[in-house]
Amino acid sequence: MEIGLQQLGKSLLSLNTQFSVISNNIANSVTDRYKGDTLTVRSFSDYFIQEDHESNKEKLFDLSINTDFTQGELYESDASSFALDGNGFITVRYQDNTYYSRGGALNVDNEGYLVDQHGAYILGSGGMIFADTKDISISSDGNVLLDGIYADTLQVVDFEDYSRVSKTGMDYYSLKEGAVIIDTDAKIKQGYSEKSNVSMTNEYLRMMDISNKFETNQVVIQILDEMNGKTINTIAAF
Amino acid sequence: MNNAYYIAANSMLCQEKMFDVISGNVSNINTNGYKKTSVSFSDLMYSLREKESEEGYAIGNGITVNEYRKDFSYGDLKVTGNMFDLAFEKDGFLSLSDGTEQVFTRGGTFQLSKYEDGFYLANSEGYFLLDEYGDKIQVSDEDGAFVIDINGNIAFKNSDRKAKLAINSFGNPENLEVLGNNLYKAGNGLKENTQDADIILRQGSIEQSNVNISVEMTDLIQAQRLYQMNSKVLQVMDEISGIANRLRK
Repeated sequence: MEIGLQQLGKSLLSLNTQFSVISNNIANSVTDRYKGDTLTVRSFSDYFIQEDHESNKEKLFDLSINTDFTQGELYESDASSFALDGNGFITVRYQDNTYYSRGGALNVDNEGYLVDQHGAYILGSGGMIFADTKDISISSDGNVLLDGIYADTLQVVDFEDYSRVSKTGMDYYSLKEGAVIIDTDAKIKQGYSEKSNVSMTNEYLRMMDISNKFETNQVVIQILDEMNGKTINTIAAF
Repeated sequence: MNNAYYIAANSMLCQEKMFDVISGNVSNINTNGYKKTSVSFSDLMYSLREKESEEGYAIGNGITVNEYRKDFSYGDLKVTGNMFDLAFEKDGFLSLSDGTEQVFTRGGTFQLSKYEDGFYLANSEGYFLLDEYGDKIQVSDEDGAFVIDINGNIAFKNSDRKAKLAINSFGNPENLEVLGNNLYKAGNGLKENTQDADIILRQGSIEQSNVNISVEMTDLIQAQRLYQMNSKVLQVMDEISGIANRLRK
């Protein structure tokens, strides 16, 4: 009986977290290059069978985030932006850390290096790219042409297992332990931007679903509470 | 705990900023030389939660304004025939000064302004046009009418005097500081183009606003829908909290 209540309480908490994930998706449905998240919940019973109950009291549910890496719609924007068509990421360096991103803007910083919309260096095969010019173009294979002359090739990579990739905000991704970098045949499209891949309809449905599940859980908790109360009162009446 | 509240509320605030930008653009649709402002968003930091799972998972915290950006794409030119109207067909900025600070403009309608001993070319804000040496450009009665070619060379009708307008071109015009009235100030990290840029100056033309009303309208509708959706999220979150409060009858 007590486990039942505890389980339901945890379920409410996980629904709450799921709701946060959904509202984050909705908020970012206008963020270019944003990839939708879903919170997956491994059920209590799976866990219970596998693990020792006592040591896992705090973890009746095992939560994890799955990011949907399908490509968002590409739309035509200005020449200073670029997007990737296909599975792949470009490599950038931001505050001495290496991150991966799905594209962005092409800017030149004070020192003349090629940077993206957040001021992170866009990395080519030879590291930072010096681009002290206005005429910057990138071919579909990632070759950077400055005033029409070849300068460097962007580091376009892909990963074997996307579950080893995590979001860091600012539409960057970082690698978790065990991530394997592989080659990709993704094409670079200059003058395009990638839309968020969030589907409003899906998010709306999931939101309604969670709201209903929350209510169901509440009803069950109330019934359990009533049963507890009855048990206590009936026994006391004897 | 109830992250969804803050995420939805924050997202609504971001959309309000979007409304501000759109209304600024739409109201300037007939302002000569106006450059459209755009706003871009990015997702906020992810916070790591480790307690609930083996490996930990990162949960998003919503949306933030990434940057406001002036779109320096070229507006259409309107031919006026007025010799005091100047506009650039493509790249280029004219240099102006009010005696203390240097500013830039994409063009506009100029006039002759009296200053001490004579008349000089100036705009309606009191900024004088500068020549290539950084001096004001005097136009006297003897000079008469003037013709400016596509490179900014000024030739006077009744005298042999010549002058050349100071024309700048920037690698990253987005870094210009906006002063309003089609005037810009050099901002941080602004880079001047050293190479020959694509400069075509047109006398007797005026650059129109580069705002596209259909783009603004679609952006507005999108922002409004998202605003609606976020208020729905707040509502549902409120219901859920209500349910949680009624757990004990």
